[in-house]
Amino acid sequence: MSVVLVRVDQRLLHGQVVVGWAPSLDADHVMIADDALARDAFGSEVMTSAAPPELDVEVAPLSEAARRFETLEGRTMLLVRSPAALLELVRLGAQVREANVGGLHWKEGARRFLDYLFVTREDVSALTELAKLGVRLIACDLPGNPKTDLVAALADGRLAFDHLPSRHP
Amino acid sequence: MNPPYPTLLVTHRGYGEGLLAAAEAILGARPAIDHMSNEGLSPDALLGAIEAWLDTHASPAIVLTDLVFGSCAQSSRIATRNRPDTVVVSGVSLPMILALLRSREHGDLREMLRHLRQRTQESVCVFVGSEPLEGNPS
Repeated sequence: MSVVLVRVDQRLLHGQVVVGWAPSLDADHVMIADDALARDAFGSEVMTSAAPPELDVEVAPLSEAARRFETLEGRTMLLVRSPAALLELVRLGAQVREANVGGLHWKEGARRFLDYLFVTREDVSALTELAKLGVRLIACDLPGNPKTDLVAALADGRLAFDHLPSRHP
Repeated sequence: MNPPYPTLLVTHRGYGEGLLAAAEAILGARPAIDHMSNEGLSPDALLGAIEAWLDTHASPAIVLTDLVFGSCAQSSRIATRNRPDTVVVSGVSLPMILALLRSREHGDLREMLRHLRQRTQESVCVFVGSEPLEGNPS
């Protein structure tokens, strides 16, 4: 089959992904594309070992994920940690046409766009580049919840970093 | 009531607070268990908060979390990377908390943990109408 979801989520594989997205997409495979985690045997073990048996989970560097993107078997959810990671994945050759942006929590320097989307200037810059490359960017935390077209939000200025509120959640 | 070891509850949203409030309603006193929620926290922020708590409490310490595949359990397990005496237990429930508070007499740490897991598993009983489903703990 193929990649049924590309998702940007700071938490990578977690409750919303396992309980929310996987059943709704009938996914049976998760590829976590993350260079740091791929180098971290303990962190990878923590992330993969607790997954339910119906989900086959693997961790791969971004370069490997990009190389295998078109040939992945099963119904795969591909997870990356940040917009910058997604941009690198695309630049490495992954033919990503649409991505779900689902969880960027507050961190120093981040500003609120949605309750589950706090972006830094670097995040907005990466999202802007992705939009220029033709990637549809849809913000949505859980299946069935409202979707926000981030490409449109970038185009009309709603996602302009300098216009976003900077309050801590 | 005090658990046998310093204990931290790390859960989604207000689940942990609700568990402690329920335990207090049953016991008449709030358990001496600290609680933190992952709400709004990045993985690094949650990890930092757990590590800060572990740094200020005696070892061994116990971290109770909810979903085994959730961000709370993952951050808790990552926090044990250089803390071999720290225990992470997933699947926290009211029966588990009550069992932990009554587990002082169960010897060393590992024996106590085996007892805690068994007691929690035994708390799951299913009844269909008036009939117990086969496989219920006896």
